[in-house]
Amino acid sequence: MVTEMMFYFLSFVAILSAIMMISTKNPVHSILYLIVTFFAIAGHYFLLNAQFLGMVHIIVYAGAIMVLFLYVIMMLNLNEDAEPVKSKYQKISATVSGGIFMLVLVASLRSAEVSLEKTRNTDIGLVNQLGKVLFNDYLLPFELSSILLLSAMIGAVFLSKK
Amino acid sequence: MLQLMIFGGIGLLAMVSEVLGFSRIMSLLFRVGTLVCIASLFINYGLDITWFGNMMVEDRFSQAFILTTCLMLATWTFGFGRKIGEDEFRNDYIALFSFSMVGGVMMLSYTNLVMLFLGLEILSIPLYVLVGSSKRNLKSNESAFKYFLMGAFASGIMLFGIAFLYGATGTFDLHQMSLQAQTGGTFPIFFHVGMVLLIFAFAFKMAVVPFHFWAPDVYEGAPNAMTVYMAALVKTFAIASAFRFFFLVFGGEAGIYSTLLIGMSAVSMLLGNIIGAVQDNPKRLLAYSGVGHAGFMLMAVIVNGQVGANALLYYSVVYSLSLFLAFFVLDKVLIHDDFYWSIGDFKGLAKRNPWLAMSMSVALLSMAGIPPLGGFYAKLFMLKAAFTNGHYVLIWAGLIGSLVAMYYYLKFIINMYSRNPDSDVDLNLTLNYWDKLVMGFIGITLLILGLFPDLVSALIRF
Repeated sequence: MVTEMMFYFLSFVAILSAIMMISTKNPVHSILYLIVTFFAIAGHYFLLNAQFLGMVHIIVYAGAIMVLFLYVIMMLNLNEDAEPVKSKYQKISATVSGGIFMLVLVASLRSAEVSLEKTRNTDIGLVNQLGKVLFNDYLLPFELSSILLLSAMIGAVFLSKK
Repeated sequence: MLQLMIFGGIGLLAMVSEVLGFSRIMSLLFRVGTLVCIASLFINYGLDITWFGNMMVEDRFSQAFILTTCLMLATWTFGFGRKIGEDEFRNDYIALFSFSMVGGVMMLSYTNLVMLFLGLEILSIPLYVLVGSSKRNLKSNESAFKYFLMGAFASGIMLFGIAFLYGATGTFDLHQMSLQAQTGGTFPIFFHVGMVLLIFAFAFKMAVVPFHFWAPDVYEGAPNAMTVYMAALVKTFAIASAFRFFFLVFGGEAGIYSTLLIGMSAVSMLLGNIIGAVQDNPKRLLAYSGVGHAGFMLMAVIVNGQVGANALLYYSVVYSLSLFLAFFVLDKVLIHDDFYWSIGDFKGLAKRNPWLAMSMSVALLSMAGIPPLGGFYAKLFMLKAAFTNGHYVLIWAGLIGSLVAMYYYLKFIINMYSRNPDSDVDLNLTLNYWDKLVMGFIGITLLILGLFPDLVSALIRF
């Protein structure tokens, strides 16, 4: 019961903030609404028992990528006045093509068969399970990815030295 | 595995050497580490060792290729290392080279697609930096940026292909994939999509037509030492890892993908050499001829099996050595730093310095495939392997491509021997004993390989 209520609440927040994101005029507000959307989707992951995916979603999307977006917007110095004026025909054609796209999506989703295996291991998304796989089967790639990160770091330092 | 640890360790030491105060001995450590790798491979040669539950397997194939690439790396440090050793950022260079070698070793001994992807990334990221390592030079920056953008797309395509393969087979492990290929026989359509994407990503790293567009620009802009590393060793890593994939999954044949591979190989042998014939910039000329050579090496992937592996090994060694020699001379002759290089800079080189002209001729004749030098047997082995497997298209393309290549290599040589140098150049290009030693060593090695091809070409026995 609580899960169901949480699901509806999170879905409501996600859809509302997504609509707010594309309808608001100020790009910075738009980005902030996008962050809210990402948090709501991460909440869905937690409800589905996928802790790791939820955490990574927050860290990567709501953290790193959003900071990048904000940085770009700050650099470009966009604000409400900078928004280009669009003609009526553009708006109409955009609405029609968006509507057609949505129709196609809904139609294809309706005809798609969704079959879920009932006897699935629902604990597979837990950090515990993932850690076991990562440190047993994939230990070598895990360790070697540190070299990848190190070489990227050395490269950045090397190129920025005078 | 030992090689991974050695190169990784040297990279880490090079990072901290500045702080801990042993930065002076770092280049010595790098050379010693390379020699230890070579020695360990000689000792362990022929043992099959599996690491970390099939993450990587050291078999004859990977050992032979790691051995020859380490030997090539040693030759490279012998020839070009001094210039880098005098640079103020030499420890960064050492760290980047060691890390990229880690990636290369991973690509040569993977049995799991995760390792392949990680290896490709670890190989590529230091290379992007090394290509742009002459920071004040606009051309170098441009080529680094181009290489980075294109390479990022290629990595993405490879990852996408691996994801499709995983979706089709449910495993990253090549042995399990080959079990499915042998028992089941039919794969879902995703498998073919994934394979095509994977082949495209490999083709990008090899610089095979139609994914060769980056090569001339990047080779032209990058510093000579990096260009030769990229053209010789990285090409070997890419083709050998493609070979390994087909060998392990389809058991020694390219299967239904051979049509695609034959097309790419034949077109790059023809197109690479024909476009190379109209180039005036020596570095671009060598880049386009490199496209043709990549097409030749791709033949080994199509033929596959033991014959293909040995032909590929021999070809890669000879091609790398010829390229080292050619770029060593290029580095000495093209000393004006304005990027308007042309074959005209080599006019009358025999009168300015006979050593350089002789070495360049040896390198070019070896690439063209003239008998006493190694290049002849390299091409012969490839064509013989293609002939026994009935790929006649490849033979015709290879022969026509080689003929066209002969034209521009000979044009280059005639330029050096039968013209007079321009009046405004320095008539005496001086070389020290070290330079002569390097050139003599590489030239004589090419001759020895041409006289006794069995030294390399019988290393791999499955």
